[in-house]
Amino acid sequence: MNHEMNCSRVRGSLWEFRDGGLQPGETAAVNQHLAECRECEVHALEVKALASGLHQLPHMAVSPLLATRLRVIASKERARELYRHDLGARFGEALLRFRLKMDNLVRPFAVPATGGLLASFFCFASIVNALQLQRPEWDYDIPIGFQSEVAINELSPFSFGGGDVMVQLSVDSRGLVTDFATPTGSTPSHEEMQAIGNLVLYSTFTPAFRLGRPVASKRLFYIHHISIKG
Amino acid sequence: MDGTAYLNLNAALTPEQEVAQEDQRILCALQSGDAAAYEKLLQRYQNSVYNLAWRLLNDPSDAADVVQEVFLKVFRNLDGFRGQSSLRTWIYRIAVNESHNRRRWLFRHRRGETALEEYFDESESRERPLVDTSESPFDFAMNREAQLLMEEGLAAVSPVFRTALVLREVDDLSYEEIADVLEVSLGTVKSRILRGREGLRRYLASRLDPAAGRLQLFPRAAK
Repeated sequence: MNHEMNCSRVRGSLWEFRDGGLQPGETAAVNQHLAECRECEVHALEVKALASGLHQLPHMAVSPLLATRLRVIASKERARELYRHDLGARFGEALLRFRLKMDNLVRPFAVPATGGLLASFFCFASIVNALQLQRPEWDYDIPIGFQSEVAINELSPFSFGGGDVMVQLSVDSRGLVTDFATPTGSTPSHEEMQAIGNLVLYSTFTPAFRLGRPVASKRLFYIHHISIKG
Repeated sequence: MDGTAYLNLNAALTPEQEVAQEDQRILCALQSGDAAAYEKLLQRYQNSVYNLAWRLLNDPSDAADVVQEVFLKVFRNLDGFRGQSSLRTWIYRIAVNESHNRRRWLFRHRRGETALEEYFDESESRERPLVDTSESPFDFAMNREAQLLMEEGLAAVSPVFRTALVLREVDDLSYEEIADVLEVSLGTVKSRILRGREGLRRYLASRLDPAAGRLQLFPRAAK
């Protein structure tokens, strides 16, 4: 291979020569040419000066302030990256955002609604005395389903031999008869009173209930005979 | 030798392979949410990205904004990074794109403005690295002047060529890596770098010796 060099070819390859990018034969040819040609040697010195000047430029270092800023950026980005991979945190964040949006959505209505409610309370309180509302007759109301009367649980095996008679029984909260009387107007005999006493004594009763609790009470019972013929 | 290639598992890794391996480790740790990996990524690339943005925008506050945007995008798109390029070229690509976006925005919105930082000595001392005190005042003045001239020249080069030039000469990326960062072909990269170098050479020559058009800048030996 012919490596003969003229000035223009040498000057065109001086940078490659400086970088060591030429073939060994070309490098030797350039070296030889530079030793012989003063003009090209000056060009080579220029290249060397330029390369050296560029290499000797100071290497700029980041200021402490910028270094701190970069660390802050790194820290934030790392936290962001970790958060991006944490599904629980992302769900929590989405929930929080949804709540915030709802809150912001309702907030414009909150003050007018509260104001309206308070205004209506104030207006009602100021006119309530002038309304002359009728109080309902609660005293005569009979509660249904909250009370029951004394009832015969089991009748005495002793039969009553007298005529038809009305008896008022006083039954305590345990269902026991504490007293009995015939209403005024009927006058049973002494034997009839004993028979009524036996009948009542050996019968069992369910006490009366008020609001779910057994209480002592009185009730009228009418005793009469049913005659079955045949 | 029978021509068979054997895999030497004990062979020491090249620096590039070590960098790639370390980047891969950082990437895995980042994707698993490791806090230390975030810190490590910043320590590894914050200065490079800042330096690149500074060179492309010539303004410290704009460069600072771009760095923040770059790392924000990096952290947010970690899941989307498929490893088709190296982590370094991916970050550099974002930095270059962000810098170009920033420059376009500045062109539209801030053409008549001047950065406040230029008037504050405090910002100067904060942003610039400490100077080696072993230099003599004369050396310092000479080097500083040459450095300022170089920075001016770099700023005068067209942004498209400057980007390729900075990636190559300042950040030491290979041609292939630059092609990956800029998403252009290898030939385009070489062309852009060449034109960037030529633009810089012409600017410096016109500043140093307008009559001759010849660059007379010779570097001082690096300590």
